Amino acid sequence: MIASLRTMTYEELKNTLGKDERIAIWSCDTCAKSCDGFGGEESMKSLASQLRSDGFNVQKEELLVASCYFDGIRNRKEKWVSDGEYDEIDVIIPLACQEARVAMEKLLPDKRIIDDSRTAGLGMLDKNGVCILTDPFEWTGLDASDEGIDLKSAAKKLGMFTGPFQYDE
Amino acid sequence: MVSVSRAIPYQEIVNNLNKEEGVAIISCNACANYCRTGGRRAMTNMSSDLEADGFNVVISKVIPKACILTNFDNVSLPDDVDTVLMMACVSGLRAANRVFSDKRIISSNETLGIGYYDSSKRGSVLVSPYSGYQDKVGKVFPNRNNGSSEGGENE
Repeated sequence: MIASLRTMTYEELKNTLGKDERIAIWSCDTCAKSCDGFGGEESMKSLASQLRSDGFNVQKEELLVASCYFDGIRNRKEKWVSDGEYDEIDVIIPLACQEARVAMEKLLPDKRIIDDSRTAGLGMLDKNGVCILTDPFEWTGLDASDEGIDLKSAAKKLGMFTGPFQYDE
Repeated sequence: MVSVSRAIPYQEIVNNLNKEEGVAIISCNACANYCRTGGRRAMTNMSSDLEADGFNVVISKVIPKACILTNFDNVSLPDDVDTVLMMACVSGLRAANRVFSDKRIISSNETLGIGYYDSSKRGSVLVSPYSGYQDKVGKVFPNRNNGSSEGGENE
């Protein structure tokens, strides 16, 4: 599974958004959800609620089973178009991996897509449901091993975050 | 979810096996299946080829996602299995190393990095490569033009 880290806090995310922008939150329900709940339905709804209460215009919440499927993104875009909603969105906050964001940038080139995650490498979900990074990318400076490193520890070493956006980070 | 892998040449795999040992094949049905380096069809082909070449394949099993340790809970290996041949990405290999610590674990694949699956290209596109595979970015695995697991055309 993909081990995804969050690159910004909620405050930093807010600073990238304008109050006049129409926002969609796009959340992945597979790996990103397993990365301490960065993605998934709960984190999507929580972020939407936080942003709305802070005066931002969250127009859409999209939950995809897996955002690394090009066809899934394409199908969702086509639905937005057919429903007349596509032009109602200015910016997308992906709660998904970096690779999903690359796919989204190809298929939704006229939308601003927030760069809020980095893929640290590949890992596994252990018996406790914790994502363990076992094969980090070279840029992380971390070592590959069967034991791996839990995502929270990896995030701390890399100056990043795990899990959903939170008010009080 | 999409790790991108390609198959190690068959001859290299059999060079790492001997005909006296019992072999279990475990094949991942997720990302590796999209790259045709895992899944049921690749597993069946591997099993047939090994048996035809005189190797002792004791059991073959497909599991949904080899990077989730609990997915191994229902995999019970017979006592005469000495070696597990993992048809998965490196995450599945790591998981097997943990689960079957008393067996020799080998892989049929090399993992190139992470990407996304595009059905119109009938494969997975490499986005984030591991070291040594930077020149494969944008290529599609498997190569639909010749059916090999080597990367196909750039996007």
